[in-house]
Amino acid sequence: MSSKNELKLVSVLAIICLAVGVFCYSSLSAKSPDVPIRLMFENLGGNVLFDHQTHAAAYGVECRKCHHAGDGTGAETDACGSCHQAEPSEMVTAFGDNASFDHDMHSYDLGLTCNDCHHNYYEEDGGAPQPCSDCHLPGVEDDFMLGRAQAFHKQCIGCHDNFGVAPGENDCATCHTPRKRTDAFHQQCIDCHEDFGAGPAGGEGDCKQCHGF
Amino acid sequence: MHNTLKLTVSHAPFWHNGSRISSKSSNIFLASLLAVVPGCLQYGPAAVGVVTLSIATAILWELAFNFISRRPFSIGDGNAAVIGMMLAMMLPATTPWWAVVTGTFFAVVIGKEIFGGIGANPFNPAVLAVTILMVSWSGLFDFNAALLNYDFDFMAVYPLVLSKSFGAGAVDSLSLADLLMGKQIGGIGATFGLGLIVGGVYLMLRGYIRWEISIAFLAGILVAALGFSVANPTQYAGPGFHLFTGYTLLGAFFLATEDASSPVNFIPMIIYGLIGGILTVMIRNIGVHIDGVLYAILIINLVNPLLDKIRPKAIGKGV
Repeated sequence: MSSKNELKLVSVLAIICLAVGVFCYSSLSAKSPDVPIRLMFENLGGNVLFDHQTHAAAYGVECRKCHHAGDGTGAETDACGSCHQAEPSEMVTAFGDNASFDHDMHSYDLGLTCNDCHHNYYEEDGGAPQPCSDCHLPGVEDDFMLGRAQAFHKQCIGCHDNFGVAPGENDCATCHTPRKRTDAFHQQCIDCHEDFGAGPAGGEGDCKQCHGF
Repeated sequence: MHNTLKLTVSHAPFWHNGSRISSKSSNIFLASLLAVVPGCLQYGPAAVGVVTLSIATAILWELAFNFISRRPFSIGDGNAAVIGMMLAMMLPATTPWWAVVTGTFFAVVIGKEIFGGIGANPFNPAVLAVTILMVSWSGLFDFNAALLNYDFDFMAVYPLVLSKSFGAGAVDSLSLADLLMGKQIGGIGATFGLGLIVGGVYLMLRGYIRWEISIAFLAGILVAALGFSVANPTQYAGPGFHLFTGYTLLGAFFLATEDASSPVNFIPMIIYGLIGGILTVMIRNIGVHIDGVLYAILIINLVNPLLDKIRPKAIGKGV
């Protein structure tokens, strides 16, 4: 084929492709379905991909189970943790929506008094408890008291075991895989916070300030 | 007495299989359709829009640059169309039009024309463009977020995100046969592995791409992934997974083999491919990025001139 014909052929290809491309973008672009298939929950600690269709259809969860609050548009939902906890009667949320704290075990089984955790106890709501790490110290563990790492592990593993989903007690790498990546991301933020002496800097109780879920 | 005749020798590539550039471009273009058509069937008109707009604007950018720089029109060689096709293959089907147009500008103008046109580009133009897009608008390449509204009959999670975030156990349930047949989310022309392999083998047999680069690239992937997997099987997925996910097959057959940015001799091609494959797995497993193919290819493009120094001794005294 001569150069002239090659030029003509590619020119025709460009015109056809441009016409088809403009038509597809303007008239045939994908529309969002009325009922979402999947949703991406944005989270500073890493976005969460939520399979809405599977929850609604495969698991048979009714709409109002999650969408019963807010302005009626369905935009506002309950937190994932409102369903995904082990036993609501035993576990209470603590220090934010995400943590599951076995209140009965601490009070009845281990014999702690209210004031051991709630230093300023109020009848109405108990008052704010002290952080877990006041008692569960890092690297300190004996027959009665778990160390801090184990105490936090129990919050997650109890649920996972009850629901029979991975990761379980022996699947360390499943949760702790991206350790180096996590450190890298953390340092992007924390180094500045430390320099300026403001905001969360990886200290006690700072996690929830970024990791909203 | 010295012969004063001076020979002017241009730089690589020197490999020539006797055909015109346009026949090479049309063969690569047709081979890529084996992966692009299934991608368009999977993602519908949105994917067709991305592919056609990418091809059209790549050609138009080259035409515009030819016009502005007062050089002969070079779009007839089909290289711009191939660049547009390669770029589209890496994009998600929901890529906005402005990103496609910007991407083809980066590929054709920044990646090729300003270096002197075809044969003079130090990097694969499409890879350079996608990497610039990725760094500038990282959200565009979050395939999980980009394809939220598609209903698939397979798990619609980008496999490399699963393995990166949750370890090898999270991808145990993925069948290699399903991955090979494109039952995974990803770029429009990057997920149907069978089409990429058939297209790649065709191009290798016809001599349009060098088998040494493709095979060495895949060997690098397999060896590196096997090493990681043996060292820590709970954390790192096996070689089969790395072979059929992300941009691996696209990179091995269509991207790393681009003429101007790859070596021409046997040993350099083997080293070039091996480094590319090994770097890909290293970036995936211990780097911060989800996929390592594009960065690995840019790095081997960068060392390509050095690798080309490894060459047979020229025949003749004192040369």
